[in-house]
Amino acid sequence: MNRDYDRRLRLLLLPYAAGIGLLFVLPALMSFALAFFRYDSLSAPRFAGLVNFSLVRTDSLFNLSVVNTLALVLLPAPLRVFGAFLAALLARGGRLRHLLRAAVFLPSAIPATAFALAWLWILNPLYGPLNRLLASLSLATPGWLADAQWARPGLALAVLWLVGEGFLVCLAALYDVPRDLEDAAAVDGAGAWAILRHVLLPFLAPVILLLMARDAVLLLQESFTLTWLLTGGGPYYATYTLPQFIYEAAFDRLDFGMASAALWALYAVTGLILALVYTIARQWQIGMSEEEFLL
Amino acid sequence: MRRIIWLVPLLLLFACRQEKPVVSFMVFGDPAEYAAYEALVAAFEAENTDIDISLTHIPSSKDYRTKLATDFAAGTPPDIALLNYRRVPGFAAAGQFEPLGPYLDRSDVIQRADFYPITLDSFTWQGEVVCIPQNISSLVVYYNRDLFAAAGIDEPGDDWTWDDFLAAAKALTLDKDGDGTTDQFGVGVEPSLYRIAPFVWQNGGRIVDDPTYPTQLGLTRLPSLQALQWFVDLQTVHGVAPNRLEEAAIDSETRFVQGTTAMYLNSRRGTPTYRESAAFDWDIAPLPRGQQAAGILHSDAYCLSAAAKNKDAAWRFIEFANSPTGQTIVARSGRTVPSLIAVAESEAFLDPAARPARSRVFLDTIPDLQMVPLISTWEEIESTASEEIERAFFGDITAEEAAILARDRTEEYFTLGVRP
Repeated sequence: MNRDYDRRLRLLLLPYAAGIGLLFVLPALMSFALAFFRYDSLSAPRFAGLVNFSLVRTDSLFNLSVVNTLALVLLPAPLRVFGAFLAALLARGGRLRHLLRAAVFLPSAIPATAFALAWLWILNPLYGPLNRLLASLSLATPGWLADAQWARPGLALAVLWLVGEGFLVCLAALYDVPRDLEDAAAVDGAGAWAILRHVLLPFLAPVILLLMARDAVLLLQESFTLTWLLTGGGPYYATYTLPQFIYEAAFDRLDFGMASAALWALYAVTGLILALVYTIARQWQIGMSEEEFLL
Repeated sequence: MRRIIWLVPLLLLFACRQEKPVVSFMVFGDPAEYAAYEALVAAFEAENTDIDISLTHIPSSKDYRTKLATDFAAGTPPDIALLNYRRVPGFAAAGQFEPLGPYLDRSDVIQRADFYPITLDSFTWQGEVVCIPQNISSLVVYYNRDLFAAAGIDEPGDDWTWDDFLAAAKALTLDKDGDGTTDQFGVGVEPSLYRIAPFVWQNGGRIVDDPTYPTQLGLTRLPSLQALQWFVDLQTVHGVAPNRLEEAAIDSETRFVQGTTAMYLNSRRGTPTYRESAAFDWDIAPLPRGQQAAGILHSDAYCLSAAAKNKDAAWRFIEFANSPTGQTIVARSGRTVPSLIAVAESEAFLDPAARPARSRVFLDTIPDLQMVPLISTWEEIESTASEEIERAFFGDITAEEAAILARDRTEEYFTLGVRP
C-alpha cells in the first residue's frame, strides 16, 4: 500500500522532473561544455581550452560584478528571512492577522516589473515619497539609485519586501509548534522573549536555515530583474551584478563561451553558499536526521 | 469531442492564412512612431494583397539591438529590420544581411540618384549598398517658443554660435520661486559620444584618430578636448542642464515635453512625440556653430536578412517603403526626414501646417553632415565612451580624464573591430 503510494507520487513528479531535466539540467550541462569553446552562435564553435575562464578571471568587470552580487546577497538574505519570521510571528494570531498576511504576501504577488516601477517612484531622489518623508523629518536625503554610494542600499531596500514565500513557510512551521509546549513554558514562568528564544526558534531553526539557503540562491539570480529595471547596473557599475555580466556577454556581445564560463562561476558561488549553510546545519545538529534535512 | 470540432474551422482559417507569404518586419521607436509603420504596412497590404507583413515593435533601441542579435543567433531573424547605420556594420561583418545594391539596380521604382548620396554611403559595406536608407535625419535643437517669448529673448537664428546658445541657455535657466533649486532648465541633452561628436567636429576636432581607418578615439587631442570641455561645462560650470539627481528624477526629454526645459537636442525622431504631447508652441533650429558648421548624420535603413525565406516578397515591401508613396506616408507622421530628395523637398515633409515650422533646417544643413566611422564594434565603442562622458558631464571626473578613460577602455574594440 505504502509502496504503491510512493510509486504514484513519483509518477506525479515525473513531468516536473522531466521539465527540470530538459529545461535546466541539460542546458546547464551544455553550457559547461560551451565554456571550453569560443562561440558566437554565427560561426562554428572553436575549442579553446581554459581561455574563457582566464578571460573571465582577468576581466575587471567580472570581478566587480562578483563583489556586487555578494553584497546584494549577504546582507538582504538574512534580513529577509528574519523579516519573514517576524511577520509570521505577528500574523500567527490576533484580530488583524488576515489583513497582515495579505499585506506581507502582496509584494511577492506583484509582477517584478510593476514592483520595480513602484520602487523607481518611491526612490526618486527629488520627488519620491521616501525622500519627502526623510526631508520632512529633517534627515539627509540620499540620491538612492542615482548615487553610486546609495544605489546598492536602495536596491537592498526594495528587495527586503519580497518575503512572501518565506513568510508562508514560517507561518506553516509556526502552526506546527505544539501549543502545549508554549503553554508549559508559560506555566514555568517564561515570558514572550524566553518562549521565542527557547521554544519557537529551536523548533523553526531547520526551516529558517533552509529558507536562508533558498533565499541566497534566489537572490543571486533574482537581483537581475530588479537591477536591470531600476539601475541597469549603474550608476557607473555600482549595481553591476554577475547575472548582468552573463547576460551582456551572451546577448550583447554574443560571446557565449565567456558567458558560460561566468555562468559556472555563478554556480560555484551558489554551491559555496549552500555548502556554508549545510555545514552550519551539521554543526548545530538540528533536530532532524540528515535524510530529512536533505529533503 | 465537441470541443475538438470547434477547432476545425479555426485550423482551416489558419491554414488559409498561411498560404500567403508572410514577411516579418521589426522596428523600434516610441508609440507615436509605431503608428507610422502601421500605416505603411496597411498601405502596402492594400496594394499587395498577396503578401502579409507581420510587424513587430520594440520600444527601446538598445533592447532592439539585443533582440535582433539574439534572433540572428537563434537563426530566426526578422526578414526585414529597420536599423541605424551605426549598428549595421556589426551585422554586416558577419554576413547577416543580403546586400540590396543589386536589387536597387534592378528596380523600376527607385534609383540610386533619387537618394541623398551620404545616406547610401552610410549603408555601404565592402563596396556594396547593404540596406536601403529610409531617412537623412540629424541632430537639431528643439526649442520651446513660449519660453523664449516669456524670457524676452530672440529665437535661435540659422547661423547662431556656441556663445549665442550658451547665452540663451543661461537666460532660460530659472529658479522661479527663489527656493534655491532650478525650476526651468535652458538645455537638455543626453551626455553621449553620439551627441558630442558634432561639437567636436565644429571645433576642428575628431572623434577617432583616423576617420578612414580608425584605431582609437580622438577625444584627447586638443580641439576635440576643448569641445568636450565646452559641452561638459554646460552642466558642471553653468548649470544650464540638469545635474545627475535632477536628470534621474525627471529626464530631460520629459522635462522638455512638460515645458520645463527650453531647448532639447534630438534628431527628427522626437517630432511625432512632441506633436502629440507638447502643449506649447515649439520649433527647431540648427546646431549652433563653433569654428565651423558641422552636423551629424542620423540615418536608418531597411535591411533584408540573408536568412529570409521569401526575399522577393520582402524586397517588394522594402521597395514600396522607399518609393515616393511609402516615404510620404512615414514622412507625414513626422518621424522621418526622407532620404528621397523628391519627397524631402515635397510638402509631405515641409508641410507648413505641421510643426516644426522650420523643417527646412534639416535639408539646409545636409551639406555639413558627417558620419561616425563604420566599424563592426562601434556600438560597444559608443556605449563605453558614453559612460565616461556622462561621468564628466555630471562632474564625477574631468573632461580630460573622461577622454583618456574613453580612449583606453575602447582600445580593444578598435582591435577587434572589422572595417568595411
